[in-house]
Order: sequence, then C-alpha cells, then structure tokens
Amino acid sequence: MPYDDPDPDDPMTLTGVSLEAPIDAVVDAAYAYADELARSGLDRSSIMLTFSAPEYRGPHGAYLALGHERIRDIVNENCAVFEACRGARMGSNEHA
Amino acid sequence: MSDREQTGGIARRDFLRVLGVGLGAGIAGLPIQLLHAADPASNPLAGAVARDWEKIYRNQYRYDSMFDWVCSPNDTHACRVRAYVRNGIVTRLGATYDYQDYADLYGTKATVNWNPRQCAKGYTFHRVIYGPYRLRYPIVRKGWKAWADAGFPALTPELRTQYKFDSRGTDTFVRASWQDAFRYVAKGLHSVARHYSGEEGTQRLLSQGYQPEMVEETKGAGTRCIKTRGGMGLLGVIGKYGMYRLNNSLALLDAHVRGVGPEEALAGRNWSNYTWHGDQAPGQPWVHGLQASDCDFNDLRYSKLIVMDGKNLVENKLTDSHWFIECMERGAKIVVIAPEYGPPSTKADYWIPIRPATDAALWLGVTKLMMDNKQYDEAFVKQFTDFPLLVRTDNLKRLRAQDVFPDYKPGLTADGASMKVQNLTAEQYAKLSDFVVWDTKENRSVALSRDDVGARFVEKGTDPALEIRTKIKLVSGEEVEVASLWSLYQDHLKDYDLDTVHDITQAPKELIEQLTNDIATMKPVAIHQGEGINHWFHATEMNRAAYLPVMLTGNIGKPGAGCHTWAGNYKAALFQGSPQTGPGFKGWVAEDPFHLTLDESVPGKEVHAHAYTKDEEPAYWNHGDKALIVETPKYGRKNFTGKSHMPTPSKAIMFTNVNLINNAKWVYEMIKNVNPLVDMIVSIDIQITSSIEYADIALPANSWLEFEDLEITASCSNPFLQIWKGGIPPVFDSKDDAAILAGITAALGEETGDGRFRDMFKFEHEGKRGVYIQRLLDTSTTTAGYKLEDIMAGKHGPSGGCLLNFRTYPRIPFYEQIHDSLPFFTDTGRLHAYADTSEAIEYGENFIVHREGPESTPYLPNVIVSSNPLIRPDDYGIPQNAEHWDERTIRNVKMPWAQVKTTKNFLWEKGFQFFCMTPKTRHRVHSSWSNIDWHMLYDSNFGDPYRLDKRAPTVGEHQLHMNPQAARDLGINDGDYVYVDANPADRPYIGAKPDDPFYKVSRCMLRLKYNHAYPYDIVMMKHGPFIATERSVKAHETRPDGRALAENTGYQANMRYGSQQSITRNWHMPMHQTDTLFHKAKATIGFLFGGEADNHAVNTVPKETLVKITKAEDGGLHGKGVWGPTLSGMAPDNEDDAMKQYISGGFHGEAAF
Repeated sequence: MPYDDPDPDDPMTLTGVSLEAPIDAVVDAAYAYADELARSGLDRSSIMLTFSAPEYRGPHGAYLALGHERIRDIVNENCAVFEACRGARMGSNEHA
Repeated sequence: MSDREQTGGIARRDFLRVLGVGLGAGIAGLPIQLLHAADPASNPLAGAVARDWEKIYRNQYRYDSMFDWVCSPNDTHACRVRAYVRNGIVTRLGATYDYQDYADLYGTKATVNWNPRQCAKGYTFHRVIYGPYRLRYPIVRKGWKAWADAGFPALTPELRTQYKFDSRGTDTFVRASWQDAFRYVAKGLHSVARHYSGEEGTQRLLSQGYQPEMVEETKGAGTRCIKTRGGMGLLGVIGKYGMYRLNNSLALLDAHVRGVGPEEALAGRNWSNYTWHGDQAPGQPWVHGLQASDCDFNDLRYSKLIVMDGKNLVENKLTDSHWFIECMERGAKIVVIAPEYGPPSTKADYWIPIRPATDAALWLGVTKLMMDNKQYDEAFVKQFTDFPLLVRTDNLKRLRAQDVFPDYKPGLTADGASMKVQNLTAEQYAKLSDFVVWDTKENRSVALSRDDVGARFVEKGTDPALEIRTKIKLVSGEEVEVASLWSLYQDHLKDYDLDTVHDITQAPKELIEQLTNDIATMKPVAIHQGEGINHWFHATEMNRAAYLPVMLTGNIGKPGAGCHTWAGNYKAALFQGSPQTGPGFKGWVAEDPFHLTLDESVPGKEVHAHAYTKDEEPAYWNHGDKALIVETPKYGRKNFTGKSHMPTPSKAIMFTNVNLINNAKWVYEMIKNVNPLVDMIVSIDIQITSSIEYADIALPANSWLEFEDLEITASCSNPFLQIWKGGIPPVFDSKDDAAILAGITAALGEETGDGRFRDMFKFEHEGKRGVYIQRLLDTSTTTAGYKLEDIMAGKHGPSGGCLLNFRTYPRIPFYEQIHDSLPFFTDTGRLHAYADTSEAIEYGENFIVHREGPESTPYLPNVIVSSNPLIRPDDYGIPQNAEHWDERTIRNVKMPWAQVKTTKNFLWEKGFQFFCMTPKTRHRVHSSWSNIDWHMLYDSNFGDPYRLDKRAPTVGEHQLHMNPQAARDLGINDGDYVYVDANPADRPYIGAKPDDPFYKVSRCMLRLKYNHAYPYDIVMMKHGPFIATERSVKAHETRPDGRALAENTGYQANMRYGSQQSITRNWHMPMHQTDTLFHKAKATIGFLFGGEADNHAVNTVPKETLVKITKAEDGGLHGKGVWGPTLSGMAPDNEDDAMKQYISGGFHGEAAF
C-alpha cells in the first residue's frame, strides 16, 4: 500500500495535472454535472443539492462560480429533457 | 512542488476520487480545474450540520423499478439485461444472473456457469437511448420529396441532378409525419414497380447501362428491382426479418402494376446479412453441406486442444470468452494462428505467426505430415470422408456408380436417412447418383450411396481401399484411369512439404510440427476460425483446408470437437421448418400474400408459405451494381455469376437495423457512382447514421428497451430462446420495427386499393403480434411444443426465456451424423476433401489448394500454388500483367511455389506493401455504439473527453496500428495523422481526382499508433467506424470546436476524413457463385443446388487490399510536434530508462518492508 508519498521516479504512479481552461468552460462543466445526474434519475432538488453542498466539490465549484440562479436554470433545463423521457414521445424542430 | 499543491490543495487520493466524478460525460471542453475543491477556505466538515447531502450518496444505486430486456446486436450473445429505473429514467444496466433457470420442454436446465452475461455494450445502452444521436422522427430528403411531389417523373440524368440523387450528401432533410412518411415510401415503391416493369421498363434499365443479364433477371417485373434487408434478421425475428415479409407482399404490387396473377407475380429481392458482412466461412458448405458449423459455447469446456485460426475469442466473444479461458485451468492446450500477437495469443500455449491469408497452405502442410506419419483414424476416414471414393483422372469427376455397373439400381431407399430424415427429393437424387469405392475384401469396385456412412457403411461389409490406382471399364465400353482420393492427395500434397509450407506461410517449422502432433495426439480438438480467415478472397480454401485435420482424426460430432466458424448471429436455422412441424421461419417471412391465414385460431402449420421474393447478395450492388461478367481473350464475354445468384438492378433499397452504406466495402464508390442511379433509399434505425446521411427517407425505430410489443431472438452460440418487450415508453417519436413495416404495407394498400396489403400485418395492426410468434414457435423444429403464454409466464425460466429444444446440451454440430450414422449434407453424404463440380474444376479448386490473393500478395495475384497435373484451371487467356480487379478475380494460373516466388504483384511494385487487417472491435458491433461517448473514449489511444486537440472529430477517434520500425522508416511518429491509400485505380472511388472536393472527404486519414504486436508489413484498422461524410467534413472544417458533427442531421463521424472502407472494395469470388454446389437449405430440412443468401453466396472480403501509408500531419497538439504521450517515457518505442527497466523486469525483486 502506498502509505508514503508516491515515488516520483515510479513510472506507474498516476499523476493528476491541472490544465488551464477558459471561464466559460465552467458552464460546460455545470451542464455535464446536471446532465449526468439527471441521467442517474436524481430529481431537481437532489441535483441542486449536489451543487449547493460543499461536499460535492466539483459541482459546488461551478455553483460558486456561476451562482444559484444560473445553476438552477441549468438544472431545470437538463431535468426537463429527462422528465420528458418518462412518458411522452419527444420531438424537436431541429430538422424542420 | 508538493503533491498537495499540484492538486489544488487537496490530497492526491481525494483529487483522483473527485476527478473520477462525471468523467464519462464525454463533454467536450470539460475543465479539470472545476474538479478542484470548490472553496479552499471552507472545510466541509466544520460546522456541517445538515446531512441531507449524504442521502444522495447513499441512495446512488436506489431504483424505483426494474425490467429485463434483451441486448440483441450482431455479436451472437443476445444477453438478457436488467434495467434499473429511477424517476422514469433507466439509470443503470446489469446482468440477470438467472441462466440456471432456463429449461427446455423436458425440464433440462442450463448450467449456472453461463452467468454473468453482459459486456460493455449492454451496460452502456442507456447512453444510446438517451444520447444525442437518436433519430427522433421521420425525415425525408428535400430533393427526393420534391421529386415525389412532382409525381415521380421518370428520372433522366438531368432530373437526378435536379433532385440531388447524385449529391444526396449535400441535400437537407425535412420532418414528416408518420402518415406522410408511410405514404411516401409506398408511393416510392409503386413508382419503382411502375417505371421498371414491362418492355418500357426493360429498355429504361438497359439505357441506364445495367448488364443485360441483370435486366433479364427482372423478368419484366419492376418489383424485382426493389431490395430489402432486415439487418441480421435473427436479431429480431418479427421486426427485422419482418422486412422480408413486407417484401413478399410486393407480389401484390407486381400483380397490381403488371396485371398478373399469383402464378406470375414477382416480389423484390431479399438482401443477405451474414454473407454481406463477410461473416460466413464460405468453404464450410463445400465440406459438410451445412451453412456453418458452430456449437453452444459451453461445449468449449470439453476441448483438450483449442486452435484459434484467425479468430479472436477474447475480443469477439466477450461475455462468453470465459468458456475457452477456463480450459487453461482444465488442462487444455490453446494455440493461436494469426499474423499478429493479439489478445488471444496472450492466452495461448503457443502462437504460430503466419503470413496473412496463407492458412490453407499451413493446414495442407499439417495434413501431409499427418498422412505421412500415419497419424489418422483410418476407420473414421473410411466411414465418414470422401477419401476412399474413386475419382476419374480423365474428367476429374468422382466415379459414378451408374457409369460402372450395368443396369445399376440406385442405392437410396425411401425409408433411408437421406430421403426420410433429410428430405432429399427424387429429382435431386437423380442429379446426384451414387459413388464408387474399391473393396479390398473382394478386390473390386463397389457402389455406395449417400446413406452408406458410419455404422450403416460398416454393416455393408465393405472395406474400402484408401490407397488404390487402377483402370476401370465403364458401361460405355470406355476404360478410364481412377484412383482413390486418398492416393490423389498423396500426390497433391507433395507441393506442401514442411519446408515449402514454412516458406509460403513464414510460420516456424517446429511449431507446424508441434501443431500436427498435438492434433494427432490430443482429443477432443476444436479449430475455431473467424473473420481473420473469412474476410479473405480465398477463405473458401482456408475453410476447407482447416477441416482436413479433423477429418483425419475424427474430431467432429463429439463434445469439445469440431471445426467451427464464428462471426455474426446468422442462424435462421434455429427457426427452421420441416414437413413434420410446418414452415417455421418461412411461415413468417414468406407467408403467401395471395393466401393469407387471417384466422388466428388456425394452427401455424396450415399457414401457406410461398416466397415470391428471391435472395440476392448486396455484393452485386457493392460491385458497381454488376454481376461478374468479364470480356475474356479466350471466350469473349463470359459470365461467372450463376443463375441462382444473378442480381437485378437496384432501384429501391430499404433496410432496417443496419448501417448499410457505412458498412459497405468501397463505400465512397457506392455514394459517388452507384447510388445516384437508385431511386429510393429508406433507412429504418434508432440513430442517425451515415446511411441516413445518404438516404432519401429515414424512419425512427424503437430501441430494444422501448419495444411496445414482443420480439423474439436466439443465438448461434448459446441455447437460449429470448422473447421480450421494452420497459420504458419510447423516448422519441419512434415505433417498433414491425409497426413500421405494417404502416408501409397499409399505405401500399391505400396506394393500390388492395386490402390484402394491410392484411399482411393484420395481427400487428390489431395489437396481437403474439399470434405470429406462436405460429413461429409451433412450426419450428426447435420450438414446437412451446406456448408463448407459458414462456412469458416464466414456466420454463425467467419470463420470456427458455431453452431451444436441441438434441444435445451443449448443442454439438453433426452429433447425429456420428452418433446416428446420418449422412452429412453433401452429395456423397461424406465430409469432402474434394469438389467435383464443374466450376471448382474449371477454377482449379477441385483439390484444396493455397492461392495467393488477387490483391494482398507480393506475388502474382490469384496464382494457384501447385504442380498437381490433376488441377487443370482455365486462365481464359487473361495475361499475367492484367491489372483490372475482375481480370485478377477470374485468372486461374497454376505454378509450383518455387516459381511463384519469382513473380511480382504490380501493386507491391508500386509501393503498396502493407497488408491491412480490419478486425471487429470489442467496443462496437459493426458500427453500433460508434458514437457512444464512453466507447469513443475506450476504443482508441486517442480518447480525450476534453478534446484538447480540436482536430479530433469527437471525444475519440479512429487509429491505425503499425509496427514502430515500419513507421519510423517512413518518417512517421507515434500519434501522427497518416493517409492510408489503396489501389488508386478504383479507390476510394473510380474516377477519384485529388482536386475533387469529394476526394478529400473520402480519402482515409487517421491517427497512427505504434504497436509492436504487428509485423513490419502489416497494419491494423478496426472495422466499422462512422465514416466521414460531406456534411461531417464541412462541420469539422467550419465549426469553432472542430467537431465532425453534421449540420441538419446531427450525424457524428468517428473520422475526420474517409473511412476504414476507403481502402476496401468488393470482390466477386467465382467459387461463391456456383449453381452446382449441393448443400442443405438454411431454414428448412431439405437440400438445394447453388445459391442461397447467407449460405452459398458472395461472402465479402474487406481484408483483400494492400495499402500505402504516408504522413499527413504532426501528431502534437494543434498539429505541431510530436504527440504528447510519446514524451511520457511510457509509450511503445519511446520508452525512457525507467520504463525499459520496468519492461525488462528490473523492478521485480524481493519486497522491501
């Protein structure tokens, strides 16, 4: 077990790296979280909780960056898609 | 910098845990920095009173309900999958762990060891159904709609341009209601039937340049130009195979258009599945007469020697691969024969590397060693093979009994196995006659019939000579020289001694000898061939040759033994009919539209089956819509396509559950030069595919989880009958396949005023699909006795599941032949090492031989490697420097190996010196799952959810594997983009010019990956990515994010440019197109001569190509420098010292505590 700090010379050590990303990527990330959690069958309030609770650090980072209102809109938008999946046949005008 | 600092202030372990959340989203541009702690200043544990956040974590696997469905792609497994539903959303999928409950009518149950059954495709299917690439509602191409709305005027070249038939890829789609869509399809079918019927239709077809033989085959019926394909119909017998039922109803359309009655009416052509995919082992019907030999996978446990020859049971048998892997624990030996060191080789006791497509030579060498060393089961050879049969050396035919014995009376009787059990007809028997052996007891020739096999043959008291050469006087008075096939093979195999075979195959001599001894001394032995064999031009010979060792050793018809082939889930014979049970499968797909059984209480056996359709290979469409008819110097115009195979011009193409165009070999030739002459293309699918990009009408089908009524399937590799329906409502405006087919036929009824069209799917319209399923169960040999309601009630296992009623569990092919002494399905009733059909003799393949391919060889294309004087091929006067693909296809030139080695392939001389393997991948089935984010990430070394390099077409991209040294010699770095080009005379399409914008779309460009598993002159590109289309290329070049995501359709390509199919083409193997091969019909107990789709027909061969690799772009970010991971020190051929130390075992040692 790796009780100590990883050996920097060990080629099998997993290394996480931080990458620069533009601030608008925060929106993409918030959409990704909301989409994945909606796919997981969570309802709106539960998804909002993952954003507002600091225990869920990724979503909460987006929450702090974008604010409650913006996050609520994103959650509502994603939940609407999957709520529609529950019974109604969906369509869109994309091809029209 | 400390570890904590690097990760934004949290411990490494926490950072990685957080990093894992949501990675599968596959959302482009997802920033890693967002995954850091939200607020470093806040301690989530300090003062946190509210604990409700924990509920989300603790309830993450909670579900409200669950249901079971069947994952039924063309991978042969048909796993029943459990869907877990929360808030109406299918949130996860898992195994059912209930295979031990599946039982047959007699109470036999399956073993618990089938559990679990599930692969990465089944458990990611919710990402398909909720994904962004679903086909959401019916759509119609604008140009086609304009043509339809103009009243379907006859299409002149000008009108084809006006309505964009010759530029479908640049047109746009508009939404249609279901009612309108059905009406458009019906009117389109009517238009084709009208335009191409009668003398006017014939002249119209001839004026469009179709071969006269193909036009003649229409017999004046325009409906014959309508082609339908129910994509791997067994995957959904009702909805997919139902396409052929729709086609059969087109006899009514012909009757309406031409005014003919049932006796003259003709429906359309049914396109094949198995052979079109190149999945069949085309040589197997030549050996045993059956479509294919395969077993239930749990039979693999019995094998003591498993030989994978061009078969990857690890990647392609997925959930069931454990059956062979377990054999390692059970003391069995595993051998792999393949050019590359692939996944199965890692499990093997030894791997025999081999030059591609030389496996026939290898098996002939093994056979020679076994014969020379007397390592064979003489009794089996005499009782079950054609080796003792006498062959005439003058005409190369087998000696027939009526030619030898005056007033000869045929040996078969009505109560014998051939006629009573196998339903051989008197008419067929008259063409077969009986055969002759030399009896050593009486020292004279004696007759034997096809019933004289096994114990029945022994009872006759004949002891046939294996070695005999003599002269025999015929009843005509002529004296002819004859010899046993065994003796003739002793001569024939002189060309395949160990040194020569080593030289041909490049396989190590000691391993060839080891394999020979293992097969000779171990029992049971099973040889498994697959796409690595079947996708070559001369697969016929490689399949036939692999049977020789099992024929010599009697490894057939017994547990753990056999020579099998694995690829698609093709086995319509699982629902075969018989005189005893009724029409089976044919009662569904070919119920007579003129005599429909509309009373649901009438037993299925009374359904009147009559096929007004005729089978056809899509390969002809795929060959420029041409049969194999060649202008020869010797005979002038010569036709090599048998009458039983002859195609018709393709004027309407309609398919379901298949990405037909995407998966067409030579796809850009189809798009550019063939499809412009097709009047209507209709695709029924669950997702937007490239086939839809180039279609006229697309109709959205329900997925397996959304089925609104029952569907039924079974598999060639397990004994499970599966019936199911969906558990969630359709997400989009889609319908069950059967409902779509019913809608089209109903619209045909409205179009023609003929109510019988609607009646064709009467019970579907009435919501009683179960009537059709019960009829299928009642009349199929494997399901007769089952009641649908019992199966659904769980009487025989889980609801919807039971076992097919086989003779044995596991199912063992040819068990009856060996155990009950029944004839094999050949004309002699024996396993064949020899083919005496006129075509086989003419093509030089009467004996099993090795031939170099017509393209993928350094030597003279298509040369026969032999000096045997009893191989007398016709070269038709084709010169040896001929380069046209059809001339190379038909030219039969015989040479001994020493001479072959001195010859050259003109393509090799021009620098096309790489063989290109195109195997299937574990991450897709054909093209299915190609656009699923998780699989795009898994499928290559270039998966990147962040798309840091905007050149990537999506979050993953296709790759070419190449030997590092070969790549370096061409100046190509690991990760670079490369062009892959084949013969420019015909690929990517005929007439391609670099300044044509479509050439840029169609030329294959992809990432290259160093891989030491591949020999120097072999590259590998997996089969079936979503191709680049005109719209996807435009998107890639104009969208700010660079994604290859087509405007209007939302089609997502896996390639920036081109496709795996840019380098492939169709080949028309003459041995696949005979009218004389006698063999078993695929879906009934009976026989036929010549062609039948998926059985004896052109089996496509995408590996038959040579390619040239050139660098296109640097692999580094944004096209600058080298691909980043190559600098990590851990990439193949770019290892740093630590990695080299690791690989060499330098880190291995005593653990230090």
